[in-house]
Amino acid sequence: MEFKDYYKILGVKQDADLKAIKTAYRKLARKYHPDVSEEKDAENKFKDVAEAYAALKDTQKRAEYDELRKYGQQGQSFTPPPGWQSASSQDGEFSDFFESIFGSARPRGQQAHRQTRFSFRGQDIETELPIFLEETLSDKKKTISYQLPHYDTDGQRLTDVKKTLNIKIPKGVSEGERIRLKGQGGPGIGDGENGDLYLHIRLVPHPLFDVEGHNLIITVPIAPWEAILGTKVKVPTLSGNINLTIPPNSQSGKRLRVKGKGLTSKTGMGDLYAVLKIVIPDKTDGDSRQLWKTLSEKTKFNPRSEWRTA
Amino acid sequence: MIETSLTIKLTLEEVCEIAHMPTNVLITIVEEGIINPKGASPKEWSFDSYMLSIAKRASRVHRDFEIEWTSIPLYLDMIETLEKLRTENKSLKQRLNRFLLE
Repeated sequence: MEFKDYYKILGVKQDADLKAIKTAYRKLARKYHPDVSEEKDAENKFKDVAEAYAALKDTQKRAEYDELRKYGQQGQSFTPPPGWQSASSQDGEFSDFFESIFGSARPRGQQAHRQTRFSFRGQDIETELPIFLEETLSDKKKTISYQLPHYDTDGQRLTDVKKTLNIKIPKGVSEGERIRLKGQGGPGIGDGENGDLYLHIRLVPHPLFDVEGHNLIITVPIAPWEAILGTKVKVPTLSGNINLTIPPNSQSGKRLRVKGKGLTSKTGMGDLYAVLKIVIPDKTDGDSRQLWKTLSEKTKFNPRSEWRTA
Repeated sequence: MIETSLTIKLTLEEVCEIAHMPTNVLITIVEEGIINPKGASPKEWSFDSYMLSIAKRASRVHRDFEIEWTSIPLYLDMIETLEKLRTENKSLKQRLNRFLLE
């Protein structure tokens, strides 16, 4: 187990008063709190900060920690001296290092409340589940694997166990949705129930389609003459190609709606929007160039008429 | 094959157990109007998964930022707006990139 230097984590001196510790904590909490932070690895950094604060804001814990700090250094391996016992109690879930000093809020701490044996509900597990857009159109069978924490009857953490499940993902799931699998989380201890597994749905970005609610958007590149004359374009959807009619004189950025070719939702199928993007050739040579020239001379068109400059 | 569910109904005790939250904290969260479970009295309260996640988040920010309960609805509104804007911004940027050339 690695020693953690709580003073270093909070960036305060060893003789800092409670006010300085609070100020340092609040500043770091704003920076790393997973609710607000966009920093890399914010969640783990915040855990360290919260743990350091829990240890240092409490006079008794801080005194005990200062005592032990004489024997440890940041990043070095650390074991509390034999016979070490803390007089503090605590109620959060912290690192093994913290719990080795101040004890654990998990089963061991609960023993006093129960008569013969203790019970403790298993841990809830949350895991991300990436899903391709195509997979959301119908119920999808998937095999998922995840790590389950295990504890022995004394509440000591053992090696994680890998669990594999065959599950059915209901059609129409959307980005950020959480699916609960009751009882598939960490095993309960004693008479405690198993925890639950939460699958956090993440839609994998698609190379062609953007998602807007239950609608899809596809960018359709067209040539300038196609935009002027109109045409039919074969456009891919999640369920096969369709023929899309481009009306004459279509502007770049125009949205054409293809009904019912979006994502599945509880309220029915979303739509697909085809957004036109006029693309010009990289090179224009000889005859072609001459034709454009003729066109420019024969066409009365001011694309900047809206500017109305004097 | 294990059936999955998107709709969940939980009692006061179940929410407290799942969220590792003392009963009085959850009652405060309801009394402050942060979440509004169905049912007239705590015994009849019924929570859904959205309320569970809001309750968890409320108790977490109360602890992590030492925010008063009365200010938490404002905080949650702002965080929800922030998250919505971040998601929207990300998807608009992605769409814009399909049009812009360097």
